[in-house]
Amino acid sequence: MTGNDAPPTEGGGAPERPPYPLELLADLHAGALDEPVAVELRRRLQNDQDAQATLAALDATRAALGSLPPLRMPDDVAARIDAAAAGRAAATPDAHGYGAAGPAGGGPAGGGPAGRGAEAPGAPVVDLAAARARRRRGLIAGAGLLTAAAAVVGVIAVANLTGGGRTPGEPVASATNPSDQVLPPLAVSQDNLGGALDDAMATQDYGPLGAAGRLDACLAAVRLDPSTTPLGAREVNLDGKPGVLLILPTGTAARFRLLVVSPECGPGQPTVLADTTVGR
Amino acid sequence: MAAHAAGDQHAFGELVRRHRDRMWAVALRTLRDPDEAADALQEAFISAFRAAGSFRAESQVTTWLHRIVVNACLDRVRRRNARPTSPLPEAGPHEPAVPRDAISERETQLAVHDALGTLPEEQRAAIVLVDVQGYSVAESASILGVAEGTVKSRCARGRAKLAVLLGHLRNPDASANVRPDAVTPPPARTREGR
Repeated sequence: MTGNDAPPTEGGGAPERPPYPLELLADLHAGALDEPVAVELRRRLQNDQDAQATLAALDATRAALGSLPPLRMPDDVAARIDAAAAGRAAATPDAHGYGAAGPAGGGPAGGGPAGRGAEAPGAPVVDLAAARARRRRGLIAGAGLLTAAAAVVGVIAVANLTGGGRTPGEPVASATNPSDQVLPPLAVSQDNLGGALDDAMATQDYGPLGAAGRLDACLAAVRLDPSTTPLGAREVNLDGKPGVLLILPTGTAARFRLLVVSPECGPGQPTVLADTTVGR
Repeated sequence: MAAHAAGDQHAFGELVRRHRDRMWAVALRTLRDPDEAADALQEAFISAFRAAGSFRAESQVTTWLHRIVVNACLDRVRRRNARPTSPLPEAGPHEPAVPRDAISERETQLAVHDALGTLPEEQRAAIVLVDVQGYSVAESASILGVAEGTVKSRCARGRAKLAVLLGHLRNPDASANVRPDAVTPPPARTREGR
C-alpha cells in the first residue's frame, strides 16, 4: 500500500473507511498496531465482510503453517554434530569441559545476538561434503551411531564408525574449511599431538591423501580398514616433518586415535609418524 | 541448567539433545536445504559448546541455542543470496512418511513449504518460529534478537503474502484489501524498531 492509493486516515491511524489494505489488516491480526488504533479499527470492521474475510484468511494461513509436521534430525547429522562436539571437548577439557574458548560475551549473559560476530567467533565447521555424498548414495545407513550424552563435555560419542561408511576408492574432501581456503599445515609435536584434535576435527583437509584412492591405499598400507571414515583430517608439520593427521574413531566414547602419516603414505610406504590415542 | 552450573557436565549435552529436533526443524525450514541446515546446525552447536560454561539457566540456554541456530541460518541465507535452493525431498529422513490417504494433506504442506520459501529471510524466520514452531512472540523476539513489535510486523507481512500465495484470499485482485505485492506497511504503522 502506498500513500497514493491508501484510504483517507485519521491522524495517521487507521484509514477512515474501507477498503482497508491487506497489510493494515495483517498488522491488526498480528497485534502489531498500537492498541488505540487497533480498538478503533476493530470497531469499524465489525460489519465489513471483506475485512472479516481477510482476517479469516490470515487465520487459515496461520493454521496451515501450524499444520506442518514436526521434523526429526537425521541420524547422520546428529552423529556428525556429536562427534565434532565430543572432539572439541576431548581436545581441550577445562573446568566445564568445553574447551578454552569461553563465552566472552557470547553466552546468554552477554546480551545481544549470539552466534555471529564476536559472540561466536570463527566457529569451526566440520565439512559435511563427504557425509552428503555418502548419504546421497545410500551408503551411510547404519554407519554412524554417535550418541550425545555425557563424557567430558556432556557428550558421549559412541563412535561406531570404524570400518564402515566410506566406499573404498571414493575421493575424500580436501582442504575444506569454513572459508574454503587451503589451510596451512598445523605445527604439532609428538608431545602435544592431542592439542591438534580440536583443529583437525573441524576440518577435512587430507592434503595429498585427498586424491581418489590415496586415503584408502594409505589406510591399507598401515593395516587399517580402507573404508574407515576419519572424523577429521589436517595437514600437519610434526616436529618439522610434513604429515597428514587423521582422527580415527575408537569405538569408545570421547576417545580418538590420532594417526599422523607421511604425505607419501601408500603401498610400500606405510610411514606412520605418530600414533596416539586421546580422550577418556 | 542449574545442574550445569553446579558442575554436572551431563546437563549441556542432554539439553542440546533434547532440543535438537526442534532446532533442526527451524534450520531446515529457514534454509530449505538439508545440507545447509546440517552445516548451520553443526556450526551453531559447536559455538554453543564452546560457550556452554556461561549458561545460568535453562531458559537462557535454550533461547540462546535457538538464537545461534537462527543466526547461523540467516547468515547462510544471506551469503548464498540468489543461489537456488534444493527442494526438500518428498520423503526420506527429513520428513515423516506420508500415508497414501494423506496425499492431499501432504500437497498442502508442500504448498506451504514452497510459499514459505518465497518470503524474505527475516519474515520467513519469524513465521517459522511463531507460526510453524509455535514459539511465542516474546520467545521469538529473544531468539531473533529483535523487538517483539518487529516480530509481529514481520509475521504480519509474511502472513499477508502467504495468504495470497496459498489461496486463502480468494479474490486477491479485487478491492484494495488484497495486494500480493503490497506487503510493506507505511512507516507510521510499523513498529519495526520497537
